Amino acid sequence: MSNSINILLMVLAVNACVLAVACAALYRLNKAVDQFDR
Amino acid sequence: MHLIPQSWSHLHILVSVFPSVGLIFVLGFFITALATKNEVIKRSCLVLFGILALLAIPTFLSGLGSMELLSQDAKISQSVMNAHYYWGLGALAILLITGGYAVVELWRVGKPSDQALKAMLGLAGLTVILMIVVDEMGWEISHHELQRVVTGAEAATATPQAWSHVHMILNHFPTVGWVMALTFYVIALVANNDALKRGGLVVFVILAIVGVPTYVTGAAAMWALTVPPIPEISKAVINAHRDMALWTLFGLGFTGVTAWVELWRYRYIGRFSNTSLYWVLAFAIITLGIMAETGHRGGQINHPEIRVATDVLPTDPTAGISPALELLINNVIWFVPWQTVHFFGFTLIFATVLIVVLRILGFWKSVPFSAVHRLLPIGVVAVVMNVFTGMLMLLADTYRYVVNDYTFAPKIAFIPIGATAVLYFSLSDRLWKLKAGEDAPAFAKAVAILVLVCWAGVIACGRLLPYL
Repeated sequence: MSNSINILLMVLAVNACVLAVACAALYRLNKAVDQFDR
Repeated sequence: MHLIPQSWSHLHILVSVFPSVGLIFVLGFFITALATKNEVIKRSCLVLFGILALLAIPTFLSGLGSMELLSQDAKISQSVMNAHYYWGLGALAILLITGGYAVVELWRVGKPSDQALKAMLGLAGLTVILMIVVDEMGWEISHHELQRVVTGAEAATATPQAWSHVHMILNHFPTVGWVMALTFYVIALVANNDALKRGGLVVFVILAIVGVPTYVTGAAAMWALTVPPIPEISKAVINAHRDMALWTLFGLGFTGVTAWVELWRYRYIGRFSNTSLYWVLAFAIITLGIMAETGHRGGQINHPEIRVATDVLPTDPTAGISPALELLINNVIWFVPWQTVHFFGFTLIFATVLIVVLRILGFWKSVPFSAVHRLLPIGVVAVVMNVFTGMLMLLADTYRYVVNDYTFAPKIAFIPIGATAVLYFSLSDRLWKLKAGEDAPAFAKAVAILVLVCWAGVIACGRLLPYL
């Protein structure tokens, strides 16, 4: 049981970190071209 | 790594790849220059034809020196070496004519005629074809493992040597190609030529994509060379090469993504940002250094003739980053989180691909292409996520993936095809100008179908891995 909770916590932690970095990168890229978009 | 080769064989291995693989890249730029009528790229290619022709001289001399050295080795076939020599002589002679012709025309008339350019194109193309034959014979000289046939009980666990062969061919493209791309890129920055900058950035992206199958075939080649073991090949030396290959993958990733972002952003801003261009240059130079060391360590695996007395080769097959990562990722607590990221990644890739592809195929014609173009970074970020999580998952059990799973090879083949085809969406002028209500060109539709098939294939083959 405790192993399952550990796996779940790791899944949440790793995914939150990776997806947060991905979202931040995409947000900055999107913002950089916003003013030039047609 | 010793920067200066200390034997003819070492020099030959280093120099000989430029007139062959390097020429393919110059030829690619030359064809682009002829198609786009870009004078700066044409002139750069003619100068590089001349430089590659000059390299024919050290290639020939180091080849002669190597032959003398290798002819004392009873395991080396004299007839294969002679065939390599005569075919090589022919290829280098044509390369010398091509380079000489290019330099003389450039110096004499400044702007060679279309006929002269076509003649150079033909000669360079012929050299490349001959070089492919010469390279194959060259590998046959010292890579006897490629002919190894495993029989009996060991045959069931042996990995086909075709993987080693494919790795040997593939690994020259990111390495030699990188040197050529960097050369063109530096010329572009000095000449301030946007078309050449664009060309350099595109090649960086393509080579970063090629890095994926190169790494994977390398993992397969490791098993082909170690199970059953080959006495003169050390797993510890392979691991040292593998560790550096891991860093190369990061270097290729950083440079490729930075280059792609600049190409993507160019569409909106209409000019390149100097800061970003120099970031790409910095990443490319660092990656080149890492790749040089990776190549050197790779050469040490099966080229005893290039080793020198001062070389200290690793002996512990459990030392290094790759074996440590293998141990770590085999723990379910580390494997599952990265696998979950991998699944998020492919849903993002497929969603982006589907939206862009459906617009090209005629769905949502009310949307201009530039609107879906803005979504492309989502797919690219997801590809990066999946390359690295995929690499981690591969490390968990490389043997099972590359040897036992029938759908792994097609999955890896689909990735570069799909990724390179997506590059077309970022670059195509005709697609970029596609307004709301307009139909996409037939070629774009064909590429769109290819992209959809490739990424669907990647997902399907990936899902089938545990079962086939």
